[in-house]
Amino acid sequence: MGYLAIKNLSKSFQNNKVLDRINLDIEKGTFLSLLGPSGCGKTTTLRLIAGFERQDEGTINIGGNMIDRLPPYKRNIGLVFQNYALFPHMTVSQNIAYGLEQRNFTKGEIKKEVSKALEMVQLTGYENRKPRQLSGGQQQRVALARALVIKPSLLLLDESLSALDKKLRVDMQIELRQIQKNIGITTLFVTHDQEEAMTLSDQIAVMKDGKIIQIDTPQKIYEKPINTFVASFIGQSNFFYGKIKDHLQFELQNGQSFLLPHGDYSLNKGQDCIISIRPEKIRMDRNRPSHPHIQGKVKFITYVGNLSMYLIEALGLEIRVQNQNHNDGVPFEINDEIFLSWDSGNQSILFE
Amino acid sequence: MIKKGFGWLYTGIIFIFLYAPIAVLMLMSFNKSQYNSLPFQFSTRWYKDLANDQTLIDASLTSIYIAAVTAIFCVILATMLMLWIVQTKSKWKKWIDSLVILPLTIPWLILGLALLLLLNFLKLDKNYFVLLIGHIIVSLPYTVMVIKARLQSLDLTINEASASLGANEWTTFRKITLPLLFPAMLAGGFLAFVISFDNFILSYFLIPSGHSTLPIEIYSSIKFGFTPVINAVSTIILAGTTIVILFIIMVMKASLKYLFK
Repeated sequence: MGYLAIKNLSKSFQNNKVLDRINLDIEKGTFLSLLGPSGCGKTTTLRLIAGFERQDEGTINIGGNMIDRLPPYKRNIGLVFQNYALFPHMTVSQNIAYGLEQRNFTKGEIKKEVSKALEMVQLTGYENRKPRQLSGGQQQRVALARALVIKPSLLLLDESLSALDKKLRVDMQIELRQIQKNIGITTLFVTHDQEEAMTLSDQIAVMKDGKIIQIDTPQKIYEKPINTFVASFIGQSNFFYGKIKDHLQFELQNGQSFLLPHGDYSLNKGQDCIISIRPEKIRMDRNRPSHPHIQGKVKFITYVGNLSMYLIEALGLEIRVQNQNHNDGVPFEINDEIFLSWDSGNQSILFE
Repeated sequence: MIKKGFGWLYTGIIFIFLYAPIAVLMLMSFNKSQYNSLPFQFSTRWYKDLANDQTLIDASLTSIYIAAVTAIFCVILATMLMLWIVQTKSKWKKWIDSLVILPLTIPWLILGLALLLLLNFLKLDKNYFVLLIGHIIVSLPYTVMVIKARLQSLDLTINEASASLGANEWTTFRKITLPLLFPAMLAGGFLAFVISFDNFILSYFLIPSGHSTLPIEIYSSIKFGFTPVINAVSTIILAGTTIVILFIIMVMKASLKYLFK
């Protein structure tokens, strides 16, 4: 059993099942993101762990201690809220000292811990400011310092970066990750932003409709999604719905067929399945290649600076391809006849 | 330029319309004439008379006492109720929320009559208890509105933040909710005080015989011949109220600065 162990956690609000037997088991020091669209149950999971809601069934265990019957103030969990929830009538140092006061630290100890915490988030000198006098990024750091100064057994982050503008958010991501690694604190990060989850996490749990769909490293989640939901929620993907016939033959639902890249398909032969391939994994050629390929026509081009997105019409479908631009600009034009191909290692065979 | 001058004139007329009668009353409290007649001759005679008028002093003190008790009850009730309202998921929430405000629309006359009927039904004499209930019913909506507005502007996740940092409900209330709510409680309490102090009808209907409040005294003195002592007592009340308002504005300003600076 890992450091944070959640077993069969369920929660309903007025007959609406928000969480359906969630299981989680993560090692100490892990940064785990709960990722999913709104209403998937990620925030409820966080609120159950923090103790603001009581689960209908299931258990929560941190470091070998059952915490799911304790009130929130006895759980020793650090929380950074989406809007930071700093106490508006207190200064920065009073905000950070609050948790230590509840733990009966002496005045001297509090002063020392507060200045250490401020140093950690690079806000030394801001002791006497009020939250209103701080920028969003600074408020964020105070909230982080306030949550970490109590040496919690677990850190929970509730969409904590989403209120910041993009550039600041990227800076804070790096800083957050560094602090988290230095302290080695087990962290649960709730977010709907797949990019943020990818850059920050050791592990991502993709959630949908109150269930965890897939839990894995960011790379595995991206490269080997287990179904079309994960493949389309994290990044983009082309899906070919159909059936694997003899050899490399793939018959699409619209009756057309094409040859899959070389590989072993004997396990899935004759089965209804979905071939998933990321736009950037598809090669585009002007000349007909000797290996299996799909012939198509460029319908639309979106220029994104270093790369271009192409919409290709082929097999009665629209296929998205992402391609690096050359030194002299976009290498293809609308209505160009082109040939698409990819390696079997880059595709996923999905069943739902 | 002309437009600007006209604007000032317009504002001036409105202010004269609003405050001239009050200014006249205050002036007349220092006028020697028994019949509020001119020419103006300065005198503090009516203040001296007031100092000797035990009935009027007793009535004023009764009014202050009733208003103070009403205000305290209103603040406590409104705070408890609104703290419950903002966090509850009860289906009664909507109803209670509206029912507290509803007395605003009930004429005081009818409420007074209803309470009188209640006394009659219970075969009880008029008493301060029922009088206070009446005052609280009519003052509570104002306190509720002020405190509710403040609570709604507060971010309630700070209570959860407090809990996550290890503070139990009582500590959270003491250290977080109360300091943030205090200015609104003060303002709400003052409003309740003024509403109650001013109330004639309920007091007239429900006060035990032999007792009276300031509005009742003023009313009966108008009926039986008016002396400028009433002007004097009104001036003192106005001055007192103004001082309290200034004090509250100062407290609010300080605490607002404290919050937002």
